[in-house]
Amino acid sequence: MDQQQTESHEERLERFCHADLQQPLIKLLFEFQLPVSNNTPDD
Amino acid sequence: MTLSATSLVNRSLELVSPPSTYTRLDTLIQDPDSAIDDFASVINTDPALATRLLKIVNSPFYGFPSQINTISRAITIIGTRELNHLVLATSVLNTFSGIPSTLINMDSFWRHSLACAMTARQLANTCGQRGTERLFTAGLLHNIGSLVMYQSLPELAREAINSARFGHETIFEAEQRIIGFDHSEVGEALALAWRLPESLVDTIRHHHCPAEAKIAALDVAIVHVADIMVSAVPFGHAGDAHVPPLDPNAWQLLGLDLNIVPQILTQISLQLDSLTATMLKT
Repeated sequence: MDQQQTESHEERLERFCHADLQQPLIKLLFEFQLPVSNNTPDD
Repeated sequence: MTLSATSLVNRSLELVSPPSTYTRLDTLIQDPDSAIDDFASVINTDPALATRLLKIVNSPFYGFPSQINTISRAITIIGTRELNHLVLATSVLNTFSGIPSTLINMDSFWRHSLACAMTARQLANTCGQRGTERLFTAGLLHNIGSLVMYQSLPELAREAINSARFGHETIFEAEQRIIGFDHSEVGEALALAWRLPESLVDTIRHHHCPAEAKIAALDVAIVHVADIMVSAVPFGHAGDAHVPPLDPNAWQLLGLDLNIVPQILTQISLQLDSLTATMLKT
């Protein structure tokens, strides 16, 4: 699913649970949001 | 007899035969006397493949300034090896069938794989790599071992997916524990059985552990990073929706600035739907 707009902070944390949020790339990806108009439903 | 990744692939080869057009073109590439017309003739024997290839090379993702109307012209512009990577990518999309929709949403699987392919190619271009279609193919096929598992071991694969979804282990750890090997080992066995290029075998095998790459360290690092980038957004998923762990040395090996990441992901988001429609539909 491409569901950023409906994903809560807790859900996002859970999805990133195997990644190290101290790593700069992971931190950036955790905080990254696509422009809303580019989000399309996926599944 | 204990099941191994290789024995699983050997017993699955009747279901997933090697892409024949790719194999024939690969033979022609090795022949110094072959000409562009020879390549075009092989591709044109499969009109659906030829049509799809032309749609792909004319898509906004490729961004060629003028229309490419024939396979011969595509070969002239892109090159035989590069086009054959696209032939492989396009052929594999239609190889797997019969995978239960209750196990994996295939649209979501290919959306993730295509986004990884596009991102890997884009990262490679940004790194100044040449011949980046191999990265597109590597990104598209990095999880191909999962499809063999879903097709041939659906119940064990389901157990691994559920364990990764509700437990605290990665999908490859769950596969190792439940099945005895993971999707990257199955992918490697399939790529070897299909006689795919060594760099592609290395990338499929080590996309979760780039430090163990044998011959294509940069390619492996690029696909490792691309997989994590598209998992983070996320653009679909391949069974497990979690973001895999990053090997920071892989990102360092690319030598890129972090600022490029949002640019690439935004660009992929604009092009993914149309390329997915082009590649997945006749």
